[in-house]
Amino acid sequence: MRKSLLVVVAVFALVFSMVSLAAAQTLIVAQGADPVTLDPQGQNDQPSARVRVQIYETLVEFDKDLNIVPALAESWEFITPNELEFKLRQGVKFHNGDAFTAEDVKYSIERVKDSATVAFLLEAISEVEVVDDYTVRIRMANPYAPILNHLAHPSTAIVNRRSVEEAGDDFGASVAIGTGPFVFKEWVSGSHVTLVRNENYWGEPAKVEELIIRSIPEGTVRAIELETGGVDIAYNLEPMDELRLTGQPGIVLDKYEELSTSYVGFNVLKPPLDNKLVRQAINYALDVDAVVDYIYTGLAAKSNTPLPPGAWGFNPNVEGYYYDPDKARELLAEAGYADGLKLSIWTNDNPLRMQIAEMFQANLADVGVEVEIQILPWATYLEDTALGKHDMFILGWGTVTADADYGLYALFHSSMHGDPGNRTFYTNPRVDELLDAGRRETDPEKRMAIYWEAQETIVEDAPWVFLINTSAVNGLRDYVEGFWPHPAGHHVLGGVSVNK
Amino acid sequence: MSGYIIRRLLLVIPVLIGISIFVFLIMHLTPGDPARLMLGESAPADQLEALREELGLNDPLPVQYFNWLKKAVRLDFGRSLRSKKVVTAEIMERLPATAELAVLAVAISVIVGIPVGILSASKPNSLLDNVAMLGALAGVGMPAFWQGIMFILIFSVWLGWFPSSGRMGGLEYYILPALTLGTRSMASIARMTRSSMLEVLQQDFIRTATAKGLARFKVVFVHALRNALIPVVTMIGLQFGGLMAGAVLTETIFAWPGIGRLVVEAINNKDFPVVQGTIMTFAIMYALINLIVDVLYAFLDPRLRARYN
Repeated sequence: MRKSLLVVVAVFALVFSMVSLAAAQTLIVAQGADPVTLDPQGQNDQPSARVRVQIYETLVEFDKDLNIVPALAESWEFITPNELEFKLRQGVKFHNGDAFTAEDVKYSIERVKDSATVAFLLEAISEVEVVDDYTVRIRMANPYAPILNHLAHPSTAIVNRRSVEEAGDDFGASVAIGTGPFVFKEWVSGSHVTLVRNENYWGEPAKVEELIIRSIPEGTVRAIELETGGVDIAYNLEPMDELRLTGQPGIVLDKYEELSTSYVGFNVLKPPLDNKLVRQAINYALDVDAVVDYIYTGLAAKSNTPLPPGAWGFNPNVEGYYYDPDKARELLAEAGYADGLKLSIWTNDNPLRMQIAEMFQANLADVGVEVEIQILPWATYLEDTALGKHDMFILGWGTVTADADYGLYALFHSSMHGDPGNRTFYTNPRVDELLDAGRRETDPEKRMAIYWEAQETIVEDAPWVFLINTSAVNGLRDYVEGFWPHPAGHHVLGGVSVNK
Repeated sequence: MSGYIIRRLLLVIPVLIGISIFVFLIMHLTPGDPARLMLGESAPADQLEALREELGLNDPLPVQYFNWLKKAVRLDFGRSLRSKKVVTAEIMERLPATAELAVLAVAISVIVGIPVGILSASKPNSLLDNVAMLGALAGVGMPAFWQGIMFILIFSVWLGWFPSSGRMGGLEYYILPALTLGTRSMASIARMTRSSMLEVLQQDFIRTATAKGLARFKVVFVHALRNALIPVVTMIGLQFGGLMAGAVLTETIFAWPGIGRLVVEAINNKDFPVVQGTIMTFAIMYALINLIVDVLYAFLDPRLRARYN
């Protein structure tokens, strides 16, 4: 009797464990938009990157703390300041069975440089040399310290020459061959992408057998799918849904700081904004904490420097500006505008930016500055701010490589005026010098000092109103394990398991 | 009868040509150089020029149009500027999702709308009529995005009967979006049926039919309904055409992979080949649906049939 009971229990346990195993084989993730293309060198958009990082791999990658760690490259070494040698991982196979070699690295880097959309990432590289099957050398015209950060960007992922050439224009649409922990299976346009575990993966194999990445454009519906168990992870919950889901049993909210900065840019060539005192005054006039609390409902933090805190080179000692209308009035009087002045602020039809503009208008009215708000269509907005037709504009920047160079050079170097990114037309020879030096300097400590000084100078010069760094919230079912948010938003899911 | 259908079919051709000219011109009337859009902001001038030449953008407009049309008649709209996907394949992938939803929505709206309209008309100003028409008014007035979210809240979150979004297989995924999409048509059809029925029921031949002792049921359903249906059929046709093209809100709320979302995304990104392909598809479908409606008229209205026989 006792024996048979034991058998029954054992059988039940076996059956149950099998059931839970079977149920745990699929991970369903929801994001807000469809991927555009699964070609890494196609479009540089977030929804695509979120799928691609599961399929493809880069030479190096970021760990949780944004350190550069080996991926397809096992090790690397600067032979000269202009020359970087990679030792590649051996025994890695593409999903079509081809072996991964140095030729693929050369082909992929050249493909990046030929791409209309992502060539800027590897502009610094002038030549790629295949030394042997597993050694590759990258040459740069000038030393470029953040090159490894750029080689960790998902758009520089290594592709397989044969599959790209065979597929032609279909590469990225119906064919996606990488070396990553998941193999592309199916893309139902507008609905979802299905990936399956790469059984021949060189590293730790993916925890789940199948990964489905769904596109659910409505934030509320994404949250509801999580709530009703339709998806296991929902990316980018909206503030309202975050509030509603807080404390709900079975749901874990995972908030993380993104690498993005929002700012109000001045036209520093246009009087009265060519006067530093006026720009500083406006920085003191705006109640940024109110922007954080009421417009972003907490999903942002006030920024004191142009860099997000997560980026390498961020200077935590810069105090920045704070809300002090009296000081603003004082500075305006000192600049000769005690009787007030009139300015315009531009934004595109982004709801958050329009609200910031309104708050800005009210705050500045307090200190005697009359602000007119103009809302422009996106294309015109970018074009006209690049031409310097504005007084002030609201825009954002993502420091996607998590390095100070990416977050400062395009925005503050005088060679970048207009379209490349410096829409404030800010020029400071010392800052130019520092930003150039930062690109060359390979000693991390010295490099850090360079960027710290650059940030101090830029904040003092105030070509921006330094606004906020945004955060994002992912929602997870509590049975999801092993998830960590990548600050650039393309979360890697190979280590995530579903323990229902 | 066949003469009538052929005549109608031939009339579709000039309509499609007109639309094709319009659709072609979209690319040339909106600001922005397509070559620049494809290659991005920082592309060098010689590369831009080479692409312009390759795309034939340097040819005179009429030449460009005929080159485009030659391909378009073979349903070749090229590849998307962003995803490089073949436009026709992309449309064929998305169209079934939209068509299924539209057919279901129309079916629901006809199955519910017409009987409600008839019942209302047969007892005008009764309690039943008032309740039905109040419901129809609400149905016409309710915005799809609000109704969709409410349906999800009630039927997915509270009751847990249906999944809240997606088209991941299984009939249960169709119920909420089809109901949401069909509500406005259902309400419009009910209102149209009622007013059309009321008008017909006032007419002499109905009085005659009643006077000669026919059962009320037969008077209403055989004599009146058939006459009252003509404007209703027009309406159903229009609704169906609209649902095939205009389900963007419903598709967005329910994450439905339909063609409405495809075209809106393409417009936002100035992805001309996709915009041109989808708009042409909408035009062809509209024309076909109208053709079917016209043929249905002939069935419903012996006078039309007589004219062409």
